[in-house]
Amino acid sequence: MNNFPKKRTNPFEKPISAAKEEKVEVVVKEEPEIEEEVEEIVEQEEEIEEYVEPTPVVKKPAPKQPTKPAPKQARSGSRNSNVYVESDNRLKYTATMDRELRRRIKIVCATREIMFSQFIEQACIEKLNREGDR
Amino acid sequence: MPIVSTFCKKGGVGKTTFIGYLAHYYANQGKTVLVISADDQNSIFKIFGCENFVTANDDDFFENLLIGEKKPEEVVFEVRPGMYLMKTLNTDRLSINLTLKRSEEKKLRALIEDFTNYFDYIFIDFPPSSSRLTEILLDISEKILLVVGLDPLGIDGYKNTIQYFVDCDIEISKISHIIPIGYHPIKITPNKALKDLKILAENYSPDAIIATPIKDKAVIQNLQSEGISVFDNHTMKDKFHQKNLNEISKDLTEVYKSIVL
Repeated sequence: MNNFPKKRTNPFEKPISAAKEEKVEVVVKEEPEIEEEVEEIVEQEEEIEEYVEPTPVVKKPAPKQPTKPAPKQARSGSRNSNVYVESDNRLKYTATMDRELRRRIKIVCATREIMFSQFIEQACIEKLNREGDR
Repeated sequence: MPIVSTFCKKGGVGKTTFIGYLAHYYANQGKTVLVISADDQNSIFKIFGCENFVTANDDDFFENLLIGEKKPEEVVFEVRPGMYLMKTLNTDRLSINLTLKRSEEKKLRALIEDFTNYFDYIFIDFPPSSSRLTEILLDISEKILLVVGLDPLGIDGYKNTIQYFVDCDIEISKISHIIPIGYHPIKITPNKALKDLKILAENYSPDAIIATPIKDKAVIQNLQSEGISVFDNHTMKDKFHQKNLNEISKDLTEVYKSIVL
């Protein structure tokens, strides 16, 4: 649930034509106010020039306290368990792939009638055979 | 001021989503827009995260305004700055009333015509089912946007809609745009459906412009479940979804720009 709207207004107060005329009037009235604001800003700038900056205080870094290494936690579950737990943040491995490359692979897979994952597997085997397990 | 509707006899094609975001797009441009939900499911409130407005009170529906129980300002809900929604309680009952009492129809027409003085655009969100209310509202509408799903059932929906227009004597020339939804550049079915749609549209609704097909994006459902609009400047949690959101908001903006209302 979002927080919209913050303020509820009544659209039936005035017809659109009347509302638009009002807006135009408001713009005309605002013009002299803008000039006053500019003058104020100029005055403020003059004040800033007279202001003398205080000498900077150099803070010494606090001495580092020796930290104890965190105790190792006992491993839960057996080492040989092959249960794969999918995390919420997991992205599809192809999601980060270049879009055009992914498209090309998909077309090739469709023409060869193989799955995307099979293609990736074949490509990996080929690369390993070519380059070795370095 | 134009009264614009989205319609299709097939359900679940994206009528509500399309018109909801279209209204928000215009509201973001400084226009005052009203969306009347002629679909008593009122799912447009959910899209904008305001479903609490639907259930909060039992006496602030469009029907209450029609029978003179409430004032217009009491049945309108501002969901985004400049964007207002109206909800309906039971359109079937309303339709029975409209069929039996002709004076009700006059009242309805006068009411919506009066709304045009207060809003830049009035959008009407229709349910897939048809009734007397649908007929009247389609007749009032100046422009109708036909939303078509790009699959065999969606194409059947288009044919059925045209048949309905002919049966109810609604002007087919009012269909200003056909919005194909569910496009994918590689998949065979949407491409074939788009080709079929173009041929059908040439024959049955030659005045209608076929808009740029909108891609199907799962991210839109995530946003809808959280009540966030595509035009809310919302930031997604991860880059992948953010990229999808940016793409869809860009696509929709282009489509909305091309539709001149």
